[in-house]
Amino acid sequence: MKNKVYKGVKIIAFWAIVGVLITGTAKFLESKDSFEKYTTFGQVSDQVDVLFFGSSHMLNSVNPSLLYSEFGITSYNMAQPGGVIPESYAQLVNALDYSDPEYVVVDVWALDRDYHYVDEMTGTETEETLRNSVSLLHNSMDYWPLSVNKIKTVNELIKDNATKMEFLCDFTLYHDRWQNMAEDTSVDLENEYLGSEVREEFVDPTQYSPDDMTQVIEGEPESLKYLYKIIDLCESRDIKLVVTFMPMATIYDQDVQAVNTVTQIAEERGFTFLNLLDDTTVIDKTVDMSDNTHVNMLGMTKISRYIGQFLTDTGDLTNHKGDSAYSKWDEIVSEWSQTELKEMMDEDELYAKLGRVYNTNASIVLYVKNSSKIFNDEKALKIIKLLSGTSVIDGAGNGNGPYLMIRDTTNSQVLEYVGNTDETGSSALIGDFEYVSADDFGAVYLGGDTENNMLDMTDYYESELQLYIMGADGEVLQAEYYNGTWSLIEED
Amino acid sequence: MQVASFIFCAFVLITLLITSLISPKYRYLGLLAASLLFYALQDVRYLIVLGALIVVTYVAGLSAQQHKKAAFIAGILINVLVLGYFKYIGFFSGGRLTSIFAPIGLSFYVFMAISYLADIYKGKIAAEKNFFKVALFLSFFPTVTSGPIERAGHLLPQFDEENMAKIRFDIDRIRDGFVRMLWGFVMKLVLADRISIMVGTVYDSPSKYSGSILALASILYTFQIYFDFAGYTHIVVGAGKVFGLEIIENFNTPYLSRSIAEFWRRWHMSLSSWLKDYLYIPLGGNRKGTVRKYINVMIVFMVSGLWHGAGINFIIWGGLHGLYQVIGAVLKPVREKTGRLLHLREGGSAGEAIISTLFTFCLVNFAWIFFRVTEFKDIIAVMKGLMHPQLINLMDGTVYTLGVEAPAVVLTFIGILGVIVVDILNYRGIRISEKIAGERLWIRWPVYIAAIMLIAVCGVWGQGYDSTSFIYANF
Repeated sequence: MKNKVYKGVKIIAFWAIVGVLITGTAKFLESKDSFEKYTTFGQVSDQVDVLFFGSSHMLNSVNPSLLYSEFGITSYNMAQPGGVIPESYAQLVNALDYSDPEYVVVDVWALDRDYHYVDEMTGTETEETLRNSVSLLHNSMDYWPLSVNKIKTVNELIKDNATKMEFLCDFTLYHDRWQNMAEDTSVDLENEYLGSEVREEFVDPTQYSPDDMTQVIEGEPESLKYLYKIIDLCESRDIKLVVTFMPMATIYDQDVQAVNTVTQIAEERGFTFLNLLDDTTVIDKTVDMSDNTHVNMLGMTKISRYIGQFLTDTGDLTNHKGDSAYSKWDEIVSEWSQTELKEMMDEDELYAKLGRVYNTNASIVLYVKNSSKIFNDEKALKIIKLLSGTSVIDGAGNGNGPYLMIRDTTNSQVLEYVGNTDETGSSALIGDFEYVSADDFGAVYLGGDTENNMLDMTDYYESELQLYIMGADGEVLQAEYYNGTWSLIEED
Repeated sequence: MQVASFIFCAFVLITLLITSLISPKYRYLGLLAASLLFYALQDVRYLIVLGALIVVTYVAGLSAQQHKKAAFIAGILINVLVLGYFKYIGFFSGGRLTSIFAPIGLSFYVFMAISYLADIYKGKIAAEKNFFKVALFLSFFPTVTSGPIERAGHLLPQFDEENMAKIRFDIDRIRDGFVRMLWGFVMKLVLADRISIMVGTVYDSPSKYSGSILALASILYTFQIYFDFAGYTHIVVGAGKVFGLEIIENFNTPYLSRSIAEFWRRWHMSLSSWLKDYLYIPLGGNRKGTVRKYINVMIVFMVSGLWHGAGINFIIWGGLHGLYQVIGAVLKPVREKTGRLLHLREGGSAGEAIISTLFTFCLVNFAWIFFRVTEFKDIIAVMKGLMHPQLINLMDGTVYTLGVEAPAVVLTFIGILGVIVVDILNYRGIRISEKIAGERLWIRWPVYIAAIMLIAVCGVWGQGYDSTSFIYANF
């Protein structure tokens, strides 16, 4: 008997060691994609007032770091690329295990989709599409520890039992990652964008709308059912719900159907619907789109400010800036600002560069020569006007002389000069200066030193645009010169 | 349910638990129920075929006992016809006909049934009167899908009450069984299934690769099929051991053979001995002159090829092995004379042993190409490619582009080396598993735990993989 007990203890001890080792190894080998997105959420989840859900349209449209920076609103962008409404519901259910937000904001792209199993979809997709769909769901679900809600939501989103195991015990999927562990060394689990992602592209989108802008969704597709589940869940938890539809340049029938259907539901159920689909007041689709259906960095900033203002105006949210209990948010936003500045300094494509200058509120000196193609580039002109806040540039170029802007955000002033001129006695972040221009020549003399031109009229005389990024003390941090294809010629 | 799976291990344990609760007298019924369930889980239709053959074999066995030749022949014929229909109808009809489905393991249990009937008819064994024991013999779940091809005289007596009494929770025996299974899992999941990815990548489009890579692929396949089938055998022999049942061995360090004849005494031993006992000897063996012996050898090996698959390539593979043996026998006097002239030691020097082993390995390796590459145009592409080695491809990183990441390639080669070392030690009578089992706990446990972790982390298993079916399950 004693011998049997001894052997029994040994068996238990043996498998306990194996269990511990496998658990530890599983943690080590886990894909870090989901953790890159949500680890920061885990650090601040109990302080989050607003949660954003949806697809890439939400992911690229609302920047919670900006919301905290400018409005003191604590929020997190939980959206995932390709995230359909059932996935948003699953995310919400799991997130509410860790968070008690005042507001939930859900984007309702793809409301017409009539499926909730992402590993089956409509049944007509290719194996690769289904696998891709499941992979994307991993980014949403891997972060959440095993819980009753995780099991429930995985059951709702995944049909195949073996695939369910991937989510409930992801070691079955990731054990083979020992071969790729080098990739993990560059993983940064701190998400200073608080879940959001910035798109850099500036395109001329195809603007299109269907003839019938009154159509609605027929019947009740699965995604619509899940919107009702989100509404019910928010009501049961006393969470205020805001539904959005983000702007698109190319509008399809299903988008129109979604906004018209949600408009009706919003009236019936009493929640706010922010319909930006065909909006022209918040963003400018000729400048702010990264493709036909997603906004870029400028669009994101504009929409974030719009949402921030809307949430602030409700009066339901507290501005947490300055509250020592929320110092973690200050750290995150500080990190975000640093990253944005670095991205801005590293950017070498003109539109994106100017867009990032706008987003980072950087001080600059910008010179455009008289014969520059910029004066015929509507998009570039619009971004420059966004930077200056005026339309002064319209009077320059095409024979009317060069353009100079000194954007001094430290002292909140913008100085602009057009045509041939000789301005003396001016002062800005760069100090006292004199600006002299004639046809295709410009000179900025600092502190009365007329021997040295701040602008480069020798080596880069031919450049279309000269851009100087200024430091807080008026020093030149970076000088860049752009050619006619808006590519960087050189930087100092 | 795959044999190389966690579920199978659980199945073995649960079956052990349930059968140990049954009176020893009836424990075989518990094993039979488990076996039928296991087989039905593959595809319930298979059970109909297996069930029918069990009935036929049982009845024919009782008749054979009474020397009723017609019944004996009918029993054999029905088994052969069933095998012929499900496995060869497409091949022999030139693709005009196809069987409705292909029961897994059919070739194995049909051969077992034939040997059972033949042994009764020849008076080697008595017919089993208990229908359920015959059913268990043919359907025993560890062996039903891919053998080994058990003999009734070996397995049936183990279902007796006295032996069945061993089915209880004997911790040491269960541990030994699972350790044996563990080694099988390493060979199958860590090595064979990963090698199969590399081999598959090359052989899917052989014309894209140079001779050196094609040669590497053929060597890798030589190890893949060994690790796959030997790995399977370790698992099922281990599973049998868990129940206190002894399942016959199928492999004995085959790639260390010094001749093709020796290779066949060490490779798939249950099939080789079956072919010898029930085909070669009935054909006359070596009793009817040299030429007839060579013809018999060729017939046996071509049947062996056909048994492995309904395809010309399998017949070529079998034919090659037959040819190797015939040529070996014809040249034997020449080799012996050369040996005497060179004053080589009788029994062979170490150098001669190494050369013989490598030469035999090369012959076997070459034949495996025909086993693996089924399309004629691909065989031509491989043969053409082998003429242009381009050795640089072995060192320029091409080997890391064969569907397996570099670290896994390194692991695979280390694994191959490891198995070779273990085989050499086994060849010399040193059983590593026994050595480890005899060690103290602080040495034993780390080895077992390392093996489990190796399978858990580096094994090819889980979602996204579909290579856990054994190559021999197709035969």
